[in-house]
Amino acid sequence: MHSKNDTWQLNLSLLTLLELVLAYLFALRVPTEHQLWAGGFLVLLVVLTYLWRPLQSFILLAVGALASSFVYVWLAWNEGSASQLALIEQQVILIVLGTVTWGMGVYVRGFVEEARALRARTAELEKYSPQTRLLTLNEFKNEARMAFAIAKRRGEHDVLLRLTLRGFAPEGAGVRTSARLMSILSEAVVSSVRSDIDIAGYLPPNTVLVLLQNTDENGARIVVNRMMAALRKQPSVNAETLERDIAVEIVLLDQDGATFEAALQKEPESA
Amino acid sequence: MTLSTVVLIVTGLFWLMILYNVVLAVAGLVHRSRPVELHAPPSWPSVDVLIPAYNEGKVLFGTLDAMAQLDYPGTLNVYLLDDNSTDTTGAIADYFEGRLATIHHVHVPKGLPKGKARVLNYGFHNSTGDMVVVYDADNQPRPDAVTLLVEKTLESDRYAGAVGTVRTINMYSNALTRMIGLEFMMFQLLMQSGRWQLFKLGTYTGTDMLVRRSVLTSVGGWDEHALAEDTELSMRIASSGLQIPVVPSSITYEQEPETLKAWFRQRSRWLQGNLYTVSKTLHDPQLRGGANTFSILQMLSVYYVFILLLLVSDVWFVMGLLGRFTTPSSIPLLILWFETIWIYAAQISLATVSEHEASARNILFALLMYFTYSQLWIYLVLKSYILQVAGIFKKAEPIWDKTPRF
Repeated sequence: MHSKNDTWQLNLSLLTLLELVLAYLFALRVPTEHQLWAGGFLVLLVVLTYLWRPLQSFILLAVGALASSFVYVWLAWNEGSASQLALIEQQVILIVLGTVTWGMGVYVRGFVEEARALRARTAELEKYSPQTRLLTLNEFKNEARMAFAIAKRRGEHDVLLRLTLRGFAPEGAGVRTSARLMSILSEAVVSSVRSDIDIAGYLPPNTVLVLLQNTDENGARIVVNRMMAALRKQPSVNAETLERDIAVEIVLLDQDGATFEAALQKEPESA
Repeated sequence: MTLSTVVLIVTGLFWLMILYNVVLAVAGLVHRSRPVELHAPPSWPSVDVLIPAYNEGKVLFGTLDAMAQLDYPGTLNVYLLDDNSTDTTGAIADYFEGRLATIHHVHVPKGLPKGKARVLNYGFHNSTGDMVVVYDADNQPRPDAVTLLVEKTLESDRYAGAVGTVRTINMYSNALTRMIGLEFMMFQLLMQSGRWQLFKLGTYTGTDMLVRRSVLTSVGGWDEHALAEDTELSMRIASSGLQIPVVPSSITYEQEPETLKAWFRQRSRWLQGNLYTVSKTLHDPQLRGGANTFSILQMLSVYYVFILLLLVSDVWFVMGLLGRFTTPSSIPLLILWFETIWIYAAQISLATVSEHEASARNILFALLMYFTYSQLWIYLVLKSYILQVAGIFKKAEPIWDKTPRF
C-alpha cells in the first residue's frame, strides 16, 4: 500500500567491520572511568538482546542513548566548555557502538530464521495473486501447458473461460477496477469450478481466466450459471448490477494451444 | 537578574520539556512493544463508518475500495457523506453503492457552519449502528483496522471508543511528504502511545477513530464550530471521565500535502482548531480539570512556551553568529545544541524503528527537519494566533479550508 521506501537491510559484514572500528575508537578515545559504565551497559545490551524480543531490547538501547545526553550535559557543565568537542566525540562513539551492537544481536538472533521463514512463505504466496487467491498469469500458463499435454494425449478438449470485470471511468480520469469487486468475482469463480481439475488464474487488472478441462461449451455455461448464482448468494453484493459488469467469453481450445495463446494475448476489456 | 540567570532559566525550561518528550518516547516504545492481546466478543456490535467528503474525486475510488475490503465479523455499513461535491465524488460513490450493499451514498444538505463536524453530525443522526467510526476521504485502512478498534473498545466500559494509527501513503513522494510522514510517526509514538502508556490519555486524530454511539449522544455529537473537531471531542469525552485507548495495530494510510502551500493551509487550520479548543476548555469550568488540565498544560507548553523558547534560541544563535551577543563561558553551548539536535533526531529514529521504516535517509531527514521543518512551526503558530484573534474580534465563523488532494 505504501509508495516505495528505502528501509534498511542489515549487512552482517558491514556491521562486524563497524563494530571493530568502533570498539577500537571506544578503547582509544573514551576515558577509562567512562569505559567502565559504558562497557557494562553494552554487555547488558548484548545479553538482553538475545533474551528479549528485538523491540524490547531496543527500548533499553533507546533509554541508554537518550540518557547519555543528560549525562554529557552534566559532564560538560561541570568540566567547562573547553572539552565539549571531546565529550561529543565520546558520546557519538558510545551511541553508534550501542546501535551497532544491538543491530548485530538482533541480526544473529533472529534475522536468519526470519528470512528463511519469509522466503518459504513468499514462494508459496507467489503462486497466487494476493488479492484474488487465483494463480498468477505465469503460474496459470505453466499449469495450462501441462493440462494441454494431458488433453492431447487423451484426445480430450478444454475450454477457456474469460471473465472480465468492466471498470469504472469517471469523467476525465482513467479506468479503475475495484480490488474488492475483483475479489468477490474470484471467490465466486473459485467456488464454482472443480478445484482439483480446473485451473483459475488472474490476468491483471480485471480478468479472471479459467481453464475447464475435458468439457465443452455447454459445460462452460453451467460453470458461468453456477458462478452467477454464487454471486447472488453474497449478502454484501448487489448481484444484478455486478452481473451486468461481467463480460463472459467462452473460447473452445484446439489441442496445439494456438487459440489459448491468442486468447491470452487479447487486450482486457476496459470500461 | 543577570544574563547567566536568564540563560540558565531558559535552558532549564527547555531541557525539562526535552526530558518530558524523552520519557514519552520511551513509554511509547514500551506501549508498542507489548503484544496485542485482544479478544473477540460473544457478539459483534453494528458499526457505521462515516466518511465526510467534499470534492474527493482524485482519491475516493481507492478509499471506498479499501472500505469495501474491511474485514469485520459483525454488521458494518459505510456512509459516504457527500457535502455537495461538484467533481466525480458522487459518481464514484454511486458506482460502489450500486454494486455493494454495505456502501451508501448520503447527500448532505447545504448548511452552516461549513466543515467536517457538521457533516459528521448529519451522518451520525442518520445512521443507527452501535459504534461510529470515522475515516477521512483519502484514507485506506487495513482490513482489520475497524475490528481491532471495536475489540479494544469492548475491553472496558470506561472506554469511549478507540483511536488507531495513521501512516502516510505518499511518504516517499518528495522531501515534504517524507518529513510529514516522519513527524506523524514521532507524534504517534510520543503523544499517542507514550501518553496512553504513562497517563492513560488518548486523543482522537480525526480518522481511524471509533466512538460508541451512546457516548457520542451523551456528549451531544461534534462541535460544529471547532476546526479541530477531533481534539475538541476528546476533551469533552475526557471531562466525562471516559478514556480513549490507543491501538497502534489499527492502521490506516492517508495522503499528506505534497506542496508547502497546501501544508501551510492544512496546519494553520489544525493549529487554529487547537487554539479554539484551548480557549473553550479554559472558559468552560465543566471541561477544565482532571485529564483535560494536563492536556491543556501540554498544549500551552507546546504552542506558547516551546515556541517562545525556540524563538529565543534562534535569536540567541543569530546574535551569537553576528557577534552581538556573548554567552557566559560557563555555559556549554556547543554540547547543549548538539544534544538538542541529537535527541530530536533520535526521537524520530525511534519512531521509524517502531514502525519498520528505519533507513539512513530517514535519519538524515530527521536531522534536516530540525533546521527546516521544525522552524516553519514558528511561522505557523504565529499565523494561527493572528487568524484566531482576528476571528474573535470580527466575530466571524472560522473558515474550513479543505486540504487539496494529489
